Amino acid sequence: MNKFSRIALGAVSMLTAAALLSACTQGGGASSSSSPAAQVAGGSLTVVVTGGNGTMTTLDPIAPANPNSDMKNAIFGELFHLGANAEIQPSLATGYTVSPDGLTVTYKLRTGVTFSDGTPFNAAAVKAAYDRALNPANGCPCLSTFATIASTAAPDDSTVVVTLKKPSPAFMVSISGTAMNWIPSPTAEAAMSPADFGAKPVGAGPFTVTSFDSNQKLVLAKNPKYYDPAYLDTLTFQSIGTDQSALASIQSGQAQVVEGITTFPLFTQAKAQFDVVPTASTSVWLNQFNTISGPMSNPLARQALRYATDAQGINNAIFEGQNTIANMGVAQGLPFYQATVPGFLGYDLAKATALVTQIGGLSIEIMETTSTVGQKVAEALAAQWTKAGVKVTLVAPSLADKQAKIKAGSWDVSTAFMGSIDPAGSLGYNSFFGSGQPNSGTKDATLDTLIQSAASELDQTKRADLYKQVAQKINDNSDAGFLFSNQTFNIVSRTGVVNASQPVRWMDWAKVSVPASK
Amino acid sequence: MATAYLNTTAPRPNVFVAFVRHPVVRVIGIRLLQAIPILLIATFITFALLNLLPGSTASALLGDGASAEQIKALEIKLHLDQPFWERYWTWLTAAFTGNLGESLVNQQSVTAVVLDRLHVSLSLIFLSITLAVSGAIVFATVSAKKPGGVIDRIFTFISSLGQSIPTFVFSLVMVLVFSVTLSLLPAIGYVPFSDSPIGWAQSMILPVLSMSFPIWAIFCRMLRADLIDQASSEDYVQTARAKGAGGWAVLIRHILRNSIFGLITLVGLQMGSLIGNTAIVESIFGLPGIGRELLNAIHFKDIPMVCGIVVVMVIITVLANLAVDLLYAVLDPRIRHDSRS
Repeated sequence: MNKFSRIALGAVSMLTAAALLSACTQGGGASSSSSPAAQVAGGSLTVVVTGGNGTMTTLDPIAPANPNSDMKNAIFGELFHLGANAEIQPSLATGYTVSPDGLTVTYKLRTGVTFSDGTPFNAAAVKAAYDRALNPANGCPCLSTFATIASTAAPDDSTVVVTLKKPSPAFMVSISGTAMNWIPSPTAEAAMSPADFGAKPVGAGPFTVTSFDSNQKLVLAKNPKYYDPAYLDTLTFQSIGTDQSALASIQSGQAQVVEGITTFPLFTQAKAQFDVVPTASTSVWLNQFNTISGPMSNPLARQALRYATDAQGINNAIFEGQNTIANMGVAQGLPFYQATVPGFLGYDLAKATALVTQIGGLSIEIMETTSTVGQKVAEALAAQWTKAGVKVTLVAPSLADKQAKIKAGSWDVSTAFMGSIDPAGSLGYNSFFGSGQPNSGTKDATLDTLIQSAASELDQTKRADLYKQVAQKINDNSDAGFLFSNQTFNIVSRTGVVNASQPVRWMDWAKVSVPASK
Repeated sequence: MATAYLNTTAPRPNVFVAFVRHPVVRVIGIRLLQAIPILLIATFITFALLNLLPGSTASALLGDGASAEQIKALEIKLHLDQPFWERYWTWLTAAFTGNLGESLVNQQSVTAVVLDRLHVSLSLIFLSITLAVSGAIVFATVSAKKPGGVIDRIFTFISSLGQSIPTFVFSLVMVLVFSVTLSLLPAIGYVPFSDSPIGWAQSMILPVLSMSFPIWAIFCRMLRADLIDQASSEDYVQTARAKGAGGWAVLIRHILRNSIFGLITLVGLQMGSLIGNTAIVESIFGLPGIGRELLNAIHFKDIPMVCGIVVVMVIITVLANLAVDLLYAVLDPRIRHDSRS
């Protein structure tokens, strides 16, 4: 490179760096949170969704791979709203009761409500929605969670009776975020083709669908018939393919909220300008071991890997320290969460190395998740375990291949995340530690009994104690090594949106507004 | 003469035969016929590769919590339990009638989705090529006027940057500079031309710049090198100069006219990578084109959607190369004459 080229390269590099620096530090002196503002009706809001949140292939509540809960809550409303701490709040349903034997759940519906197409929102509509979701031919992902439903009935317009096959204390919290909580207009569903219904469904929520371009853009308009009308006139969800451009959209003022960013260093950058709001976590990362066969059937090998794992180090390096260290398979903020559980093993490289030496060496294969973040976690674990003298190989099978390997017993360690809103849910303890379950590497009759007892116990205090015992049993056996919560965050404009910076499970867009000037 | 007009048995010129034998029509016909095996091979490979990939559409759709029974049930619903050959044949026979099938993910017509999004990608490709070619002609000609001069060095340096910076990095830098810092252009989103021509132009500027910069760099360097080479070695250049033609006149009227053929060839060769880049640029800027749709479809192993988009991309590539061939004939009379003889 000649002298001129070097000078030119330097000049262009400086200009680019200056532009980037300017972009990154813009508004850096802003306060850390917005002052409370009075909410006014009207205006438009744009939410940019990226990553998994940006996947919006169809709006049909029972379809697989449908968009995130925010969008469906906005279109269909919710029978019950689940708060940040998993408290069940009334919405389109005003309340519920559970029979003493736990087999019958009765909802009371809000009266005088109609779908946006004028169809009455009543018990018959709820029953139709449930029957549709529970029909195996329709392929609703909710089926595995709600196989416990025996029948539904609508004795009158405002009463829905759900009969369960066995007591399910997890039932009410589990319906949130599923097709059991989003009721579409039966009239519209019957009149439209599946493709049309997936593109422009009719609900009884705070917004109606104006236009939908799958995986691109969803434009919603205020539903004046909603029982508690929304503030916003228009709500737009724009899907974006990269985290960086999602952040740029809010930096440029085009969007007011960004959901789904998983590139954690961007949060550090975003904090200077925006509120970075945690959304309630439902899952935790863990190293799951094949305790039945292979090298990890040796308890000393499992202990060695647990001692060799510096979870806080990975949390700091990959997640900017945002996640909470987990001692159990329940995320922070959920019922039955315990910050500390006996039997949890902290990082101790010396002990890990000694154990590896004691068992004559250890060579294992880690099954990582196919996500970028999952691969980073697995790579960090591999680096840490190598320091303890463990030979590590990384593989990234698809979910189906992973389950096939687990079924065949041809695996050693799986790095994944587990957890549901209730530990008895579809990705809860039974799925990951129950004998013969699709994600389980454990065959332990005592643990099975504990998990089943906890899942069916109606007394919440006793349930909490049982789940603590489950976690302790897993820790004592070293069936898995729990790492940290799987936390997600929203990035929220401090000046362009009102009432969107509180930690929530799912955003309730009916309660969000924009400043009067917008 | 009069007899000839009255002689009804004399052979009359067959318009259809003449049309078919016309060299341009023959070129078009041959190229379109050649496209058929290309399409068959491309769709078969796509179909086969997606089937060979680990995992299934059903498990991708249902997510981590799905049981084996649920996955199986959805596979039956989506006909994924049928043999590979049967599914490919069913898709292929429908595709020949213009029906590219239904998306496995949302049951939308693939044909409708592709047609709905095609104009966005085509606009992006056409504008990028136009900008890159016109920019390359201007910059390369100015550079070649005085090789090694200050302007030549600046342009050479910029084109080196264009070749070495990945498209996604350049796109993000563009967004940071023009959207975040200067607030001149939108960072994301697309405005249909019918809604607002100005909004459409604003939403297309950064994506087009991002797409065209790397190919402009390639065009620019190749054209500059060819212009300089011809200027220093070709006899016709010396002749033109000897006849008193000025420097710019020789460069533009004679040398550039010859070098343009190399540029056209390069445009044809770059079409494949340009179409591939649409997926990156459309994802970054949130444009509703077929490139981004392809990425989403691959994520869910939505085979009909992937194959439908591949068909369209192959057709675009074939047509673009056909246009390049025809352009040769338009620009060079020798090619036209050779074809006729």
